[in-house]
Amino acid sequence: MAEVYKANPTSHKATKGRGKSKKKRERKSVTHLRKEVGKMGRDSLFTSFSSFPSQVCFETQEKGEAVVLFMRQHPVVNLPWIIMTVFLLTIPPLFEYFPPYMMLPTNYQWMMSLIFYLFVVGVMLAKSMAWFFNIYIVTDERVVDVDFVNLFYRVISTAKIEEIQDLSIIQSGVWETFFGYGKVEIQTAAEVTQFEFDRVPHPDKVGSLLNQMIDMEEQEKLEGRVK
Amino acid sequence: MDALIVFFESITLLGITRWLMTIFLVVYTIFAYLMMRQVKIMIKAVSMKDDYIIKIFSIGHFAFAMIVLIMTILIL
Repeated sequence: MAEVYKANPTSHKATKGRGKSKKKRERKSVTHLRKEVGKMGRDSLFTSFSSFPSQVCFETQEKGEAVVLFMRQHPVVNLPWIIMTVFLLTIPPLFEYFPPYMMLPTNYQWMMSLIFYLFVVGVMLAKSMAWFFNIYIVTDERVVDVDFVNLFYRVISTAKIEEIQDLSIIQSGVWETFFGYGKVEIQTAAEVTQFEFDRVPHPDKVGSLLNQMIDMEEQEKLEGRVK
Repeated sequence: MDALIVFFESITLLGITRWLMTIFLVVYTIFAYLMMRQVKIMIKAVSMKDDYIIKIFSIGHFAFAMIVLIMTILIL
C-alpha cells in the first residue's frame, strides 16, 4: 500500500489512547477512499454497517492500517431468537398447569422459575454474542473475517486486498430483497481461499468498494508504491 | 447392608430435585464464567466504541448465575 503518509492512522495502540489530543495522520490512499466513500452507517455499539468507524481496532491491526468498513450481519437476522426468547419468557406462568411442578413446595417452585429465567438470559446472551462478535472488517490493506461460531469456537481469517481474485454478490429471497442485505463472496489467493461476508447490509456497496480498492491496489503496484 | 437400605429410604423426590438443581447451577455458573472470559478475549481481539457495555452484560449474567446458585444452596 502507499508509503506516502500524511499521518499515523488509527492503530490499536493509537485508538486506545483516544481522546488525547494526538493528531491523527493517514495515508493518501485512505484519504482518497474517505473522500470517495464518505461516511456510511452509524458508529454506535450495535451498528451493522459503518464506514470509517471512529473507535474500531483489532488485535492484528498494523500501524498505519485504517479500518475502512466495519460490518456485522443485518440486525433482522436476530428476529428468530428474539421471538423465541419472548416466547420462553412467557412459559413460567404456565408451570402451574404442570402437575409435578404443583407438587413441589413454594420455595422450590420459585427457584425453578428463577433458574428458568436465568437459562433464558443465558440463551439470549449467547445468541446476541454470536451476532455481536461475528464481524467483517475491510481495511485499506486487507479483509478480516471474525467468525464467532459458538462460545468455544472462533476463527479470525485475513487476506490482503491484492490477493483478492474474484468477487460475487448474492442477494436472494424475499427477506434479503426486502431488508437489503446479502452475501459477498470473496475468492482469494491467500491461505483461506474463500471469504464470505454473510447477510451483510448493502452488499452492492461493499462489492463496489472492494472493487475500487482492488483497482487502487493495482494502480499503486504499477506506480511502484507497494511496500 | 442396613445402612444402604436406610440411605435409599432417605432419598426423596425433593432431595433429588434439590441436587439436580444444584448440579445444573454449578455447571451453568461455569458456563457463565467461560462466557465472561470469552467476551473479554473477543473485546481484546476487536475493540470498538462503548464495548464495555457488552462486558457489563456478561459480568451481570455471571453474577446472576452465582446469586441463583447461592440462593439454591441456602433456600432449598
